Amino acid sequence: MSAGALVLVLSSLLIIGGGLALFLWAFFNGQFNDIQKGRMLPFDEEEPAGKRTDQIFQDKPSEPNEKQNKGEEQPCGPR
Amino acid sequence: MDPGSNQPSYSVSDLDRKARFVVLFLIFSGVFWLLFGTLLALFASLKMHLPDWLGTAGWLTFGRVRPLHLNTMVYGWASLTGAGVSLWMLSRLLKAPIMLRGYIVLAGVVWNIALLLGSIQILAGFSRGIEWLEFPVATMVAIVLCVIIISVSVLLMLINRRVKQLYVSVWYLIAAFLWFPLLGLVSSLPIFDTPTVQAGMNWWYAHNALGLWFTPVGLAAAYYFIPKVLGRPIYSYGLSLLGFWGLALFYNWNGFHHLIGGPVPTWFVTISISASVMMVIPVVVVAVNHHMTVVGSFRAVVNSPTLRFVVFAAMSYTFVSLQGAAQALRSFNEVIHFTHFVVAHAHIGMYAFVTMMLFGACYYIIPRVTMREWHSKGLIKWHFWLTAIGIIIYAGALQGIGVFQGFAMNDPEVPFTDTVTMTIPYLVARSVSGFLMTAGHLIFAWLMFRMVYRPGEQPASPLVWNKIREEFAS
Repeated sequence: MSAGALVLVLSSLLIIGGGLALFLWAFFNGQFNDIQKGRMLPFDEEEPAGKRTDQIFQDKPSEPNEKQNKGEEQPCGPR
Repeated sequence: MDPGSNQPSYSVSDLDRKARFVVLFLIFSGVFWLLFGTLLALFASLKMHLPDWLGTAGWLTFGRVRPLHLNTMVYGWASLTGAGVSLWMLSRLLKAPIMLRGYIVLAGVVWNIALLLGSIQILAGFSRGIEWLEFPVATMVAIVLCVIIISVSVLLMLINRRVKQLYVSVWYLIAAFLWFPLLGLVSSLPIFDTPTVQAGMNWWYAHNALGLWFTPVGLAAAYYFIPKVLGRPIYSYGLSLLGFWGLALFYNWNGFHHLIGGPVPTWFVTISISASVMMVIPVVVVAVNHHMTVVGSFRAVVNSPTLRFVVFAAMSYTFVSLQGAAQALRSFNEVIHFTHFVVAHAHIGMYAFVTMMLFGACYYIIPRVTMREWHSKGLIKWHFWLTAIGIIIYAGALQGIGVFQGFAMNDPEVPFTDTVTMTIPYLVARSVSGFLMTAGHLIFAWLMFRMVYRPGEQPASPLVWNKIREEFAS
């Protein structure tokens, strides 16, 4: 095998190894302890879940979430 | 928020304000290269059916214009804008301001100069002659070093983060900023000296640049903007992590499926085909997750410029990836190899997925960092429909004829010239779609320009958020 091909295979292994290393770090860092909590991470007090943003094509502008309060804001999906 | 508090925690508006200059700089640089690359794309597309047009000037021949189109789109538009979008998302998800902002701006300036130099080099004929790596090595290394500076910033943000748990978008972005420098540096090593090894490196690099650099950025954006706009968390966080580690494990072996039938060891190619098919797992996982999050909220998608683009892009990702897995099979590849089908496939990946995702991200980010509303809602709709219809015509025309072209090329009864002339009407259709997309890009650039340059009176008060009013009232 030429040096070039060897470097390609080693780099590929390095990429996969990097992925595995990230995984191990995540595991021992406790990133997977409470997995379902992770889905709330994009939200905070200022921009909470249940509140739609960016609805600029809506006919009646900036009606503070009336429509989506009709049963759509409960966190959906599997537990 | 509370200026008296010395607790170093930041609200999203603080973070957006700190991100303003560096994010705008990176995204606007990207938009410039988008326009430049679009012009080159039109030249290249027209030359396919008007071969004499501008054929006398060496620097405007197809062999220089087309590679430069690819390189400016990839390293100019998609990488610069992608970096801006990534930094903004990371800042919000890690609740930490973007680190090394001055150095990133400096890196952005160097990056733009390198792109300009590389453009001149390619047009002057100093191409490296390797697809996706046409920039001369020194120019490419300069770009990679700029990315490394951003990678350092990303790692510093990770260390200084104010949240413990990392969101799935963060996983994708950290990985992308670690993988791309490796890809860029390895591909610049002067050891790929025999043609077959060089071809292997070429497709290892090119396919990974798409899968380990642009795809993670695109998926990170989808995982951030879909829940954010809908106000509804992702369907299953566990599935999203499965999708990420599936990508990390399977993607990087895919590239050699470009060399099916080539003089490379068969086991290289076979591993690659297996890995390409295994990519179905993360792709389906991502598709199910996005679908289950969006389902039932169609109005909210239509009402949001961001989600129109993002959902279009996410659907394209599923489509292009499943298509890619099929294309990697030897039986399928036998037909479509060396046809326009593959060109269209690449454009579904880089355009319908990556570029549309970046457009969507820009529609969300720019109002938040500039504290301004978009100039015209109508123009945003025009931008969406022109680009969406454009890429659909593009893909439909070229993939449709590509299959027939492939069968004709495999048929020894058909003279080779016929396999070329049969594609001409579809190449014209490609140019028409190119004009549609160009019009969309010009509209986008105009909208972007009006976000930072706004003479005279301000338009009616902001629609989406009261934050702006608070900002100026205080």
